[in-house]
Amino acid sequence: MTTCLFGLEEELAVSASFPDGQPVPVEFLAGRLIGQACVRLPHLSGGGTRLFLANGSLLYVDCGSHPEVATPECTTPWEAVAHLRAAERTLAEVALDVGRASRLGEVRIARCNVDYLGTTTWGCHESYLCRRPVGEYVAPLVPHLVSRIIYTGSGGFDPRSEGLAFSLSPRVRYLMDVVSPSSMGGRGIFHTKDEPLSGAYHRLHVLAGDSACSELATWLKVASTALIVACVDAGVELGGLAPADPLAAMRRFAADPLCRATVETGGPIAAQTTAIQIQRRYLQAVRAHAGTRALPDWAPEVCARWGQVLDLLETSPAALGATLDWPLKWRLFTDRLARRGHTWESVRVWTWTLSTLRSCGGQDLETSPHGIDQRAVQRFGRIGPRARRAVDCLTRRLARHGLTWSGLDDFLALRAELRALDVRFGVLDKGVFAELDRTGVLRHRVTAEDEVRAAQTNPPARGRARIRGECVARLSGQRGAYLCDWQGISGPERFLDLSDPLETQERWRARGPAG
Amino acid sequence: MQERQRPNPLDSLFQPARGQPDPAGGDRLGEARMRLAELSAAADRVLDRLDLGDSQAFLEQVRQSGGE
Repeated sequence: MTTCLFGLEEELAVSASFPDGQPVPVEFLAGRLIGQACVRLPHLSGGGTRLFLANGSLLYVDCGSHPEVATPECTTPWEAVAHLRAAERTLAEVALDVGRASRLGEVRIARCNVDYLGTTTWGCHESYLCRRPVGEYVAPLVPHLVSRIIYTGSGGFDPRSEGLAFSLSPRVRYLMDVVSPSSMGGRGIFHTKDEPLSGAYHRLHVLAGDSACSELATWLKVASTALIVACVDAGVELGGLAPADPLAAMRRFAADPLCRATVETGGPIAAQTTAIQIQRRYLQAVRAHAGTRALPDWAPEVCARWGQVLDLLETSPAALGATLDWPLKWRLFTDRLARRGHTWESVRVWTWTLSTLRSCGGQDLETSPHGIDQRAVQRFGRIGPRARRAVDCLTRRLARHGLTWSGLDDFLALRAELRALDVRFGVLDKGVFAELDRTGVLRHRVTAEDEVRAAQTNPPARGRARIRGECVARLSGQRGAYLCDWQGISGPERFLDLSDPLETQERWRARGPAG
Repeated sequence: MQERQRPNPLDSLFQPARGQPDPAGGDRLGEARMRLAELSAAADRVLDRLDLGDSQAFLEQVRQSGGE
């Protein structure tokens, strides 16, 4: 059986308020988090703000001043989920300490993916050890990345929409190309960075994914992608359905909570396909090799659950409302809309109206910090005959749906409420998801509590992560003397080479005179 | 880690609703539907308890929370 190796990096938003309500600068908060982690957790420095912990993971402040956690290299999807949950739990505990010590009250750490007022995103990146140059995975993997959002998506709203356009994966709006070397501006569905962090292998770095709260969503994301990578490594012909325009297809799939949207496939014979059909084709190919040496021994179990999820998405996506992130948010938002006297239809009309007004108004549309409000519409209507006609036309369209401009400010309040609800959803420990989970109504867990607790302190059982973690635990008392990295640990007179991700033994060697 | 018996959150969805007979070929998602009703009720209670406060101010605070 082959061994898959993979890990997750999660970017998190951190915020807190001074007693007068002013926001605490994020640089200050991130620094306090790292400082508190230094005190609380056995670690070796990775240089700068980087702390390698005794479970083999990395805690650091990334560019943008957000805290980020990187799990150790894992060999099963259960292990990856347990370590991600462990990292989140540890960070939440550190944040609690910071809040108490700084008298800031609640220090909020959130998996929120998008911010809605700017263009900031936070994602969950994946790394997969692979045996071929990264470019060889573009064609076999892009259709998977495009279509897997039907179960991996965090849910939320299109952050570029003037109104409220539900999206299975809000970060899709910030993917600007199919293939890109950039992880910041101009992100692609497929990231071509090949920073192997190992001697003989390559590392596939996927940055198109969301941070999900559902364990099943993260588990299936990692498991399905790792199996497809393993198939490519083994030379398996996937024979998948490939959208002709992957970026447009991903946006179309993201906008459809029924999972029935079709897109055109590429190739000589044009046809229509859904995200579910693309996923079924992958599942069929992987299942044909599950149980063989080409794939890890957990492949059959993953295939069974992958198939169950696709069956549910095909028959009743809403049935996954207690299990996956986006169906859960769809449920929460639908309930909230009803409570405020709205429906998805009225939301769609307001969203269309505001988008149209924005495109008609251009520079002439003066908006408030809240966007296009009633006063902005009135001012715009007085600019001239053309603007008046546009407003009149929209007024008539609103009327056809039983709406008037007087309802606009109420819709804007609803928009702010639902966007804020989305951002609060994934706050660690105190968010809506965490609170709902405590009530026992959710069914998303794939790990047991003792596994997550163990992963807070123990490294994975296999590979270099085990050795790294054991060394960190043992050497953290001498941390000034050692510097840790993914590929090794440097001491005053010796070096531990961990460039082989599948290393099984701790073998230090003496440093030469040149160091 | 894969040797142990693991929770599968999906199994509980493919069942008839609690207290109901198996519809044999009928609605196999009864439990899932019942769970959704419980979810909505729980969400109402959770959201009422959480102080959602000023949504716009909260979003502004998040905008200044680092990130890419």
